[in-house]
Amino acid sequence: MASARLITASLKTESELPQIRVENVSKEIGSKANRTLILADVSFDIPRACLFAINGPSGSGKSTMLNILTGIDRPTAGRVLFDGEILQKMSENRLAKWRGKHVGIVFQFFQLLPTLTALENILLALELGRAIPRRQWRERALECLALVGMDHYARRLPSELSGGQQQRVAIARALANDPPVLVADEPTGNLDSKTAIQIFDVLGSLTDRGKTVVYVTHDPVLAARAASRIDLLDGRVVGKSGVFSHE
Amino acid sequence: MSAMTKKIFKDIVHRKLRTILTILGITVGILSLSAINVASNQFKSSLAYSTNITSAPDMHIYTAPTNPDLADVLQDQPNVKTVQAEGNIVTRWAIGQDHKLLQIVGILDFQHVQINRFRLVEGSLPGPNQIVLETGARSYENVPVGGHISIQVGRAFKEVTVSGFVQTQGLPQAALVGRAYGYMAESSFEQLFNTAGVTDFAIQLVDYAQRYQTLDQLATVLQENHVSLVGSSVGRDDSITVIANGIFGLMDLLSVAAIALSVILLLGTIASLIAEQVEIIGTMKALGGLRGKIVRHYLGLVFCYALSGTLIGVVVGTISGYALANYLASLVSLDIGPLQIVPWQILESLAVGLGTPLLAAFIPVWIGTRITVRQALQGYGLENTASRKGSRKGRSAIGLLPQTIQFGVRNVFRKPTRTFLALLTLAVAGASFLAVQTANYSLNALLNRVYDVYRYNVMISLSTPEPFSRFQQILGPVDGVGSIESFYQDTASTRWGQAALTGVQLDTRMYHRELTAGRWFTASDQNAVIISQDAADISGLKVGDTISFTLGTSTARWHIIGITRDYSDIGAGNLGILLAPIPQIDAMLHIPAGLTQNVMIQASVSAPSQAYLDGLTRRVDAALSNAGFIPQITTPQEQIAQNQSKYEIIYLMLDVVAIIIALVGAISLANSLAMNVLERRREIGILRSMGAISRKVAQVFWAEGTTLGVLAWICAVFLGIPAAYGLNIVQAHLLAPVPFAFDELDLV
Repeated sequence: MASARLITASLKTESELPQIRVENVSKEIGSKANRTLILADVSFDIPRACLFAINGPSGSGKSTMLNILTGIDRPTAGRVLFDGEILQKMSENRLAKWRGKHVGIVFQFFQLLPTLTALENILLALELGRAIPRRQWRERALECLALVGMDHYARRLPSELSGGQQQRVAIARALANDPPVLVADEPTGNLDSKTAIQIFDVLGSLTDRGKTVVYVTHDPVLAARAASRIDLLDGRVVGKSGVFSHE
Repeated sequence: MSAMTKKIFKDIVHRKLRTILTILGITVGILSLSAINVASNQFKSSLAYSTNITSAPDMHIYTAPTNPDLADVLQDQPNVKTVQAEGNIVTRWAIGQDHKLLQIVGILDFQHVQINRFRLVEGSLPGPNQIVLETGARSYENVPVGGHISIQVGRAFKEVTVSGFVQTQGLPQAALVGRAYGYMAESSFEQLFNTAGVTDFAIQLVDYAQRYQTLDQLATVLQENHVSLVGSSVGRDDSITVIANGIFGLMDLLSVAAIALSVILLLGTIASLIAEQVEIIGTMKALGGLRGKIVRHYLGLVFCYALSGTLIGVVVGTISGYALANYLASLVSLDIGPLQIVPWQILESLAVGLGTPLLAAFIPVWIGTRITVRQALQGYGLENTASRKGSRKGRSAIGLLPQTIQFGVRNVFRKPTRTFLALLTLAVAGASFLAVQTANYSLNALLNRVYDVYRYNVMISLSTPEPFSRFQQILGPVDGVGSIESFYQDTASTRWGQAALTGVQLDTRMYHRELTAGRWFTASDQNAVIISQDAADISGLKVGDTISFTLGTSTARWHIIGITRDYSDIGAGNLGILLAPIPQIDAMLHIPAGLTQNVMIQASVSAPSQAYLDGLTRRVDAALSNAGFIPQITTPQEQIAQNQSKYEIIYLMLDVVAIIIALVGAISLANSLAMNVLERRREIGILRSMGAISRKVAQVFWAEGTTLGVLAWICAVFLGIPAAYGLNIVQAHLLAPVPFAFDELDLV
């Protein structure tokens, strides 16, 4: 039986392997005299094409965890495997290049460039990510805007858009280079409840397109909508559901 | 157009004030460089051209009236290229109640003028009893063609008709040199002034280096032909070239400072821009942007600033430079001609205008894009990095001030790099301004110090020597004349350059002795000389040494008995003063004893007012004119003013450049403060939310600006005094050595 299980395990298909594997990740900050533990020995897997939530109250380390998943931050210990690649081994420049192709990031405060129109913000992402051939950029950008229902606002500046509209554009930008994973840090944190639901619906629909969407939230209602989730408290995993675990 | 490129143009348009200030700063720097290059090139090439066209003489020989055919004899001598025989007299031109000096040259053949060539610009060449004036004479009086001028002939004034105006390229305006020039047919000249023959031989040499030997040789020829040699003047007049080189040299130096400030201004702008766009940099990195691409993006923005500023600066600078060259040329009767575009100058301006901003901006851009995504994205909102730097003493020192003022003062030190750049810009601007003001003050101080040594009230000069006793006879009875002394001064040549051989009476009371070494003359001294401190510093000579010099055809070797402070012979290439008793000089030059060309007068009252001196001058002039003399009468004040006017143009130019530098400094400060306001809008919002009215908010920034200004002033003083000293040294090499003098009021 053990050998069958071993054979079965080795015969797992790519779709069954986790998109992201977090192994014993810890994060400490501060001086030697004053160390603060942000994350303590966190391990979990994120499945493919899954709506995955990292839930926890303020100060639980969830944003830090998200930053480590995307290579924006580096753990003090442990590692993150993204489609089998170990992020910690990459240089800053290589990480940037990797991010352009593999991760689309949706920020809490949108982070749209204020002097560029909605369309130009997406074209910028295409220019920096270089995952799509140049001749397809414009078409791709309009496609992404259409996907989030913002194709009629292509020529508007961010200052001319509502919060919800800006966040949609931000999602469109995150999709521009067709990354397998989207991460969103409190994507609805600055939005009213009605708009938040709309945005969430957009994010959720992306999994139907094969995208893995990882989002951070402190809202239990939003956390409950995830197919898989982990709950963090004081830097430790205190709950998991629907996750593969390699432990 | 790519999104990154569009972002560049949108960033330019988004912050219009910053864009305008930055481009303006670069424009001003490149404008000054271009203007100075164009003006320098245009002026100097025109001057060189005019020197060739004009064909100036290498020497003049003055004789008693003689047959002009002697010119052929002189021309046959070795090393003589061209000889032109002329009449030559300095007389006076009556203008209103005043008289101005007028030098009239009698021309034998107007169609074959080979030396000091001029061209007719208005009217016609003179006929009988007519004169043609240099255009520069119009700075005295705007006489029309066909008008009349009144000139002194003997004891009377006679009218001659102005037939036209000519222009000799490179000849300064009358007001600048203190005399006008005119030309008559030699026959009319001799008839008017009752002379029989020419008195001046203008000579060009084959080998200029052999000029003194040639002069000796020609003197011998004159002697053989029984012609009396009255005097000679050897050497080319290149004062305009020297002054032009000096002006442009100094302006070049200051234009470098202007460009340096423009670059510092740009550094501050880019540093502010990067700081403002930290989040955007983080976002671009999060989107996959590589550091190199982001660096190229911001350098592209810098390139746009630089290109705009450079193109405007080159165009405006070229036009300004041409206007400047025209202005300077008008002072010396130069025809600048059309604008000459010199390709290498344009390339130089383009290279400097584009290259230096890019090179300078690379550092803040490289450093600024080093930031990680996490650091960049955490940087939004209020600055939450409370600095633990700054001493408690420092904090408590300002603790008594209102909170808004304290806030403003502390803000100065919040961004050390930006503060440093702003201080540097203001300090350099202030230091440059101080340096130029000090250079000007030093010259004026020097000119005043000259007349601390020469303590006469009126100086009289004649074109030919007269017995000193005659002066005493004529001037003694004149009301207000106290004491009279004879005086001598002429240019001698030494191995260190030209020196002013100066003769005074042994018992002089008008030459104030300021000996720094040695002793004054005694009656038993022979071949003794006192040299000025400048002469001693340049030559290295000291008391006990000997000095050789040549004046005309005479050479002497005198021993130095003293060194004195005497600044009357300033000028680039001048050695200084060689002071000796008049009888000793007369013996050297074989001048009969008792004759003099110059006389100094002291008023009979002490500390006479200007009005008193004006009256005295008129009475002296009338007395000498009535006696048939044509005196040149000046006062120390007039001589100071004339020297000042020569250098006025230089200092005007330097002031313009200093103002340009100050402008860039002001732009830099405005830019820095504007950036501060723009970056801290959230802070302003918080202040307002706490109830701060506009005045209170503004107080924060006023305090910041004032603190910055005070710190910059302190830095400028520390930088400015050595810079002023440095400029003084440069000025000494390019123009004239001027002892350093500092006016504390310039600090204000």
